[in-house]
Amino acid sequence: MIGTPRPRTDVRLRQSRVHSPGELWAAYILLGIFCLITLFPLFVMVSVSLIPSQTLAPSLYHLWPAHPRLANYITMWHDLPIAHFLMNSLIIALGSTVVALAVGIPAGFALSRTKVFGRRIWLFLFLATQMFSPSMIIVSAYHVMSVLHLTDSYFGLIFLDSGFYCLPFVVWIIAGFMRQIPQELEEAVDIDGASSWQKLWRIFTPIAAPVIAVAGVYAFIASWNDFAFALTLATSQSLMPLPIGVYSFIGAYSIQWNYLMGASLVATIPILVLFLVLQRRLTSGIMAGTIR
Amino acid sequence: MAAGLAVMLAGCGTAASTSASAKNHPVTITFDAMEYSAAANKFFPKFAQEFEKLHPNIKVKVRVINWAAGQQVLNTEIGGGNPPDVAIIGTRWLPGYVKDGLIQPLTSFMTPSFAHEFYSAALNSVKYNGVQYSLPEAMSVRLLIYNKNLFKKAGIAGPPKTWTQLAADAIAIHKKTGQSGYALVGSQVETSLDYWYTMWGFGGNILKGTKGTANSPADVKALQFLVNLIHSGGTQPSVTASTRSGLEPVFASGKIGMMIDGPWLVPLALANKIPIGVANIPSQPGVAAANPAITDSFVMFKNSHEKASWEFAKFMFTKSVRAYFDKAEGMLPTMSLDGSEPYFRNSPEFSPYLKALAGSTRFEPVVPGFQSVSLAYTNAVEAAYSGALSPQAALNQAEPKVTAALKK
Amino acid sequence: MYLLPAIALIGLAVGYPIVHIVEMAFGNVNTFGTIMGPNGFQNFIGLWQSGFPIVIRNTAVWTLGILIPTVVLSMALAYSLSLPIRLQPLFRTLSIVPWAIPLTIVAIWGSMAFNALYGQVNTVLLDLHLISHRVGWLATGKTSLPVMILIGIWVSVPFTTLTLLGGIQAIPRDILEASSIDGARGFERFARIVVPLIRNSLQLVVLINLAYIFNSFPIIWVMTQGGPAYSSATVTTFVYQLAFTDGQFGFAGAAALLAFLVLIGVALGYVALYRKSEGSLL
Repeated sequence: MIGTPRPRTDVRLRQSRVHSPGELWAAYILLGIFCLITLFPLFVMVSVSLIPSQTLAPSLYHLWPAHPRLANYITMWHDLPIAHFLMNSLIIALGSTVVALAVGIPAGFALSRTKVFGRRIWLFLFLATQMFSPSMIIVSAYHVMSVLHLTDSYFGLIFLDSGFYCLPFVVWIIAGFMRQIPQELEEAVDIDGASSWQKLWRIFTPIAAPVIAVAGVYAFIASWNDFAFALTLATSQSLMPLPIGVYSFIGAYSIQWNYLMGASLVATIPILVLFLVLQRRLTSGIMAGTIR
Repeated sequence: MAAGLAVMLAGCGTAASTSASAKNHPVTITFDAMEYSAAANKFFPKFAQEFEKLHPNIKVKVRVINWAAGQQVLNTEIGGGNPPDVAIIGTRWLPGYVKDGLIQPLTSFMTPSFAHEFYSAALNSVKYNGVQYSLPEAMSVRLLIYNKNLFKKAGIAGPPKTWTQLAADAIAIHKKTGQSGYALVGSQVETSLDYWYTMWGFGGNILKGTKGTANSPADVKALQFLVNLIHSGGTQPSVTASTRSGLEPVFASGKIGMMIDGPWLVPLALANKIPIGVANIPSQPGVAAANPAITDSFVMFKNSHEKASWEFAKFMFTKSVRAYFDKAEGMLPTMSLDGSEPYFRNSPEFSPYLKALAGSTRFEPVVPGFQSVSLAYTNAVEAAYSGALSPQAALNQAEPKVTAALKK
Repeated sequence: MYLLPAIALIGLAVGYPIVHIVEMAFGNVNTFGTIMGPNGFQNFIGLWQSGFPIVIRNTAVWTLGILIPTVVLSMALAYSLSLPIRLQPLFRTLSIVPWAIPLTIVAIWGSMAFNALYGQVNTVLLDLHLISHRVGWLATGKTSLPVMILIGIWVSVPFTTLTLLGGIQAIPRDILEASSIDGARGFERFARIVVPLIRNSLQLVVLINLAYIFNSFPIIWVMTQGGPAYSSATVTTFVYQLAFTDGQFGFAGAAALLAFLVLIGVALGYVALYRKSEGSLL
């Protein structure tokens, strides 16, 4: 039932009977077009990031600079605190993910496997928080942060990011998955007389591990992409995550598009690497959800 | 003599006792600086460190805040009961903060000799209701920068003196070279300021007393003039998509004939080997010419650390700090002592601007609610540029908003 | 009891600020967001007079203009990715790329690439002879809103596709095989068998996207700030401008509250429609 291994060739054979060639061609064309469109911005980012500063303005009119300068990255890395921004981003995003998972796994469990009062209302309330814009939330959230003396610290950002961006997602994904775990499994354990706490950590969490990983990735990205909170709370450079740092390059006077695009690529690469590394695990994680 | 000695001794006594008590209780002041460019993240903390070396009892906590978010961050800090001790702010924000009783007047701290070190135009530009609430920094005059290559190709002898002439030149440049004649900002916050350059040249004003004059005949004429200029091909295409910082690289690559901007555009153009000239901003016959200027404000918030804050303020307005800042950011000196430096007098980008500073200049009025005034103008001007409303209708809509903002 | 930490975290991070927004909407608020006293419905009246109707229209265009194409396109992409195609890992990775780029950076890129004078999009379209002169994409709401909507679709697709792909892969193979024996193939099977079976994922994806798109801020703020003259402003950018440029926290609170009520109303109606479906969380 759970991921019964089947020889790969067998699957291919069976699937080719299921899917018509027209269907496959349509898929290739659609995916091809979307991926081409996706590559264009990346290409432009790379090309602009290589323009030497002296010829920045005229080179912007062309798709590829006449004299690409790879050393731009060294100049940028040296002159601007990119490494520091990157570290901030990692600390905040990882912190938010850990907090959201620690709090969200029990909550997801409670909302899917126990008879908690007002289950649907709670689930809806978690979702309802997402109906507010973060740029509006921050006006008032700043008051909470200053009462707790968290305005100029990683904790404040981790707290808000995990509470607003990460947790609702984590709860929904985990509750959604745990709900699909068959009743028989739980009943089998019931006979052993396990408490619900033991059931959560010994049975449900291991089964849900791949999905928890997916939820973790979602949480990480959500925090990594934050704009409004970091813009207001990370006012000093020592706390600025990378996207805010890059945004701050749009200083009041003349934009250095080449460094801006170089830093943008740096801000993108960690998530891309994460996707590449977790690619198989992410999909197999979702595959494990095939049990119904 | 004896009395004099007593005063001196007493003076020493207080000085010694304050420094002694300060030694026991080191003071930490917070400084909200604005991020003029990426370099600001390095030099503001460096200034603070140098200051701390000179004043071991005072610690300075520096926050370098992005300009775009600057006011939001300050307001949330103030709203959260956590304002900084000293800060650099947009002069536009000053009256609002003063009205809410947040800003420490500097009258009791400023000595005549200290005040004398500033250019008086700069110092006056950051007064509100005649009171010195702040020190001027990061001054920039705006002048007309023109591309000599394009002028030559279009057969134009020199920079225009009137707006009518500017329009003729701009259209000639476009017809003969195919490039754009005049760079007009029509998107985001600086739309209003860029329009005021023309409006002032037509004899218009933003306000009269406490009443907005957005739809005065001179205003309407100026806006109509710019709309006509757009339609006759005298400006760059897509005016309502053009921000100032977006137009600068275009001018610097030689594709625009004229642009009104600050000194920082000059090195940008020279780097691309574009020969440029710098001239006063045109005005219509019969209207007194004045070059628009902008300053930012260095303020002290009211609190218990006034003495330490003032020490820091004085340090920030010493020659070495000012010269470093102005050079790094391409700003004009606000104090005579650094303005006399050969660096400023001899550089191609600064010298015409310094000269302009000696002539007649015009600053935005320092009044409360000016942010809303500017926003009302920006929306009206954008509506006229994009053809959504006629200049008269657009300015008629703006006028009550301006007056209401001034009343707030 | 397992719920308590989660509720505490959300309550502090989001719950209190929401209460504060409601207070501001009905309060007399100074320029720093401090409430000075009650103000009845004055904020709502003031809000209506400062250009809110255009903003409502733009918000509807923005939200539906992104939501519907995103869901349709993501369904097709997710189904395509579930098929036994070659280079599947490559396609999967590439189709999540837009999600890997922080939204702020996408928006900064957009304001450069769609620049009227030197923008790379114009350069490509000129090279392909699709346009005869450089276009000022961001010069009016008529073109900037569609451009920003396209960018919005592009960034919304990866998350949606991935979630729907999860749903499709959860469909037991036997059902698909049985359907092909019945003669259902290609689009017919997709519409009749697959779509109904991933109803739960669809429900979640529509709800989440609805909120995200409606509240999306960086794209419009960085690219046009809602201009010229509010022609590309949505409720979020309008609220931000009211609060932080105009100092009208009361108006901003009123607008935020109205937006929230509309969104919650739509969400509740939507959930009510789907409640009957088997296995639904709500």
